[in-house]
Amino acid sequence: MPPSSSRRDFLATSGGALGGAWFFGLGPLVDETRVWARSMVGSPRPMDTFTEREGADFEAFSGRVIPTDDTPGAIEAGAVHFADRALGSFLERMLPPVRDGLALLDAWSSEEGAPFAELDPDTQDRLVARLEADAGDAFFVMRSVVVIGFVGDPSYGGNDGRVGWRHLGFEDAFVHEPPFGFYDRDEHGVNER
Amino acid sequence: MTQDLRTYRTDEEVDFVVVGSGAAGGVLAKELSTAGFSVVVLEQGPYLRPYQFRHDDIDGFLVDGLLGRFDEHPQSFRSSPEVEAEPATLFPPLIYAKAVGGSSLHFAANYWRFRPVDFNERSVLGPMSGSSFADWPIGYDDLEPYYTKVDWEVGVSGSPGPGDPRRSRAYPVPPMPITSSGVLLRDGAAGAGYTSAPAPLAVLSEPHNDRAPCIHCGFCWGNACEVGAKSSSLASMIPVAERSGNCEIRDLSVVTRVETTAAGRADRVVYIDRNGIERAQRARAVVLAANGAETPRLLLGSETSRFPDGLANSSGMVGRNLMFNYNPVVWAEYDNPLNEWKSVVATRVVMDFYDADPSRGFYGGGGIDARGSLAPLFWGMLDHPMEGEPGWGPEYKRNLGRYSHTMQLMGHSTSLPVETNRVDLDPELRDAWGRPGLRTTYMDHPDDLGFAAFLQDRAMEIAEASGARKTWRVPIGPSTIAAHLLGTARMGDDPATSVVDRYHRTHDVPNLFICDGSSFVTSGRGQPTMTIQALAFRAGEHIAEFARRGEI
Repeated sequence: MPPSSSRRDFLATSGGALGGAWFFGLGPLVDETRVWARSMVGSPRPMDTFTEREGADFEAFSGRVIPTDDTPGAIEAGAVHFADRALGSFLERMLPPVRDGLALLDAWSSEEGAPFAELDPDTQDRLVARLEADAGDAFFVMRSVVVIGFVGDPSYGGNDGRVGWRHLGFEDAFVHEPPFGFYDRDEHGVNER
Repeated sequence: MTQDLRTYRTDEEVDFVVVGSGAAGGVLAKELSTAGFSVVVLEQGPYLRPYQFRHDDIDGFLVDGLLGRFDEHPQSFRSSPEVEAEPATLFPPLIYAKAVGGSSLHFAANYWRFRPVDFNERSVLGPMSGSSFADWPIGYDDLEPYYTKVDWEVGVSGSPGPGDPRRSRAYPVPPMPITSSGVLLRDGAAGAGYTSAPAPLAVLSEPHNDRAPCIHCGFCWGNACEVGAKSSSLASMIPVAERSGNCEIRDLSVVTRVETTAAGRADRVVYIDRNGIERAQRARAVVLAANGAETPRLLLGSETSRFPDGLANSSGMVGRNLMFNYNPVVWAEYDNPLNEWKSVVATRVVMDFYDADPSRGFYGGGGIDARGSLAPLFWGMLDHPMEGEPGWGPEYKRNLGRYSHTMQLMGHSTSLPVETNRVDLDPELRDAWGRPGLRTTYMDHPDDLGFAAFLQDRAMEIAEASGARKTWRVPIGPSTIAAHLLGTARMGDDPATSVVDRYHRTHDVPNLFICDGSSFVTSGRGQPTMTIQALAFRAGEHIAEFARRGEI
């Protein structure tokens, strides 16, 4: 499954979700348009740190960890692009365990007769479960990189369209004011001192 | 405001070199320079300005942000002196910021005072098996005036709570507005039969000392404040020190050694400057305020034929009695959003379990607050999955989405001093400046884990009484990572069992002083910075007096 096709799959469903509850505000609209526009171009960014095969496998792995359903997942967030940048720079120390995990997935996939990225989702899930059971340290690091690429600051190449932040209900505003949440809504009277 | 900042030549003998510019170093620099003494502060990290601070958890913890580059600061860890230490590969075991302001830049800003019992608990309770438990040579009354100085000069918001120790002056500004976690903790505690109080925080709720108040941006914990409302040394103390005209903050200066004369006096502090050139600053006296890990590393690395086991280490206590504090955690999920990613870390505390109770069968005391995750990054990487939940897939994704509906009830508790818990020099690792890497040896005392489990049970009662729809315990196990670095150059009257005296002068070197978390004799209940700064105000006053009398 090439990266752009899963992004298209998401967009096919997100057309109906554009008015959904997770979609609000002008900023997200701009972000969403950007994701959409890029996917229409249909040219996946080249990899710097990963080989093309590693990149495709990592992206497929990220899509099993944080899958795409009625809201975007790690693939739409571009977690693989975060990983490719970070593992070649400030997270270089995490590259060896990630490579170990990808090599295991690759070896097991060849027994299935295709690269990991091209296996059907059920087979991919079976191999991810095996990775979690047999190589827990590598799995933990790979999942960590995926999840940072999902919820981390977008300036590092992931969390594209802030889809991860929207999943958390998080808003990176410079200033907030009380009430902050539901449970303190009646606590901030005008005479409060 | 522009001004010509004072600078000093390295071959000019200044009155004091202060190593470190954090919670303690900032206060000491301010106190000594405004008392009229010339001061050079050597800080290994950069002098960043508030406009350089970002809302960026990746930069704060994973890039070469406030923590410094991981590969330049290697560390190792082991659970016992019997085993070989493993180099850390993903996270540093000891977490502290490397920049002007030190860890006061990224701390969570909980500013609990110690209570009288924290200073004489050994006398009250007797000895503890497997621990070098001891009384402090000073008491709460000795420190109270300096706690008040911290409140007013550094800037602490709050309001008195039940069981608080005596205070000579009110808080300068009222407590921060309550957040949803504060309401749930307050009401849950009441429902479970406990009491709560506004959390004292080193964050300004109103303008104070020409500084702006908090704008509730939510990036307190782990990040530095862009508006100077969080009372870091950078925001509160360093500007006053510089305005004195007697203080140079020399950043990107990595101290490698304190040099001593044949007569056993400190006379120069050797450091590597921003260009990689080794330099040495002459001084009448040296004050180490580099934190509970860096201070012992520097002492151990400054050995001479006269001090073969490291400087000021005739007791053998340098680096020992390391105390982390413990944080038992209960997570709780609610029907409606709390949005704990807004505003300050915690707004209410429960202090009903502060005192140790021998009838429990173990030593320990602490408090409980309520807060969100450290940041989206930490929620994703470390807080999830909760115990027993899937680690990937649709349910994992759904659970990640609970972020805004959750809080953690976090306990903050005692660590007993244990001599084998320590920092020392790794035999193999070297940092980017050639210093030996920090090696940490640590295993929580059984009573620390026993009390942590007790406090977690109380937190669970509160969570359940607060109407949580789901709760989880974070399993209690040995500590492998810490931000509180205490006890490694302990204070005491007896030179055979302590490193500094009650005025922070080392027993062995008459013009070498140490004041930071390393001075602690006991751990307090898990929020040390208020006491580090009160000690620093008190030390600054005494050291200035010694200097005036020609006794340095």
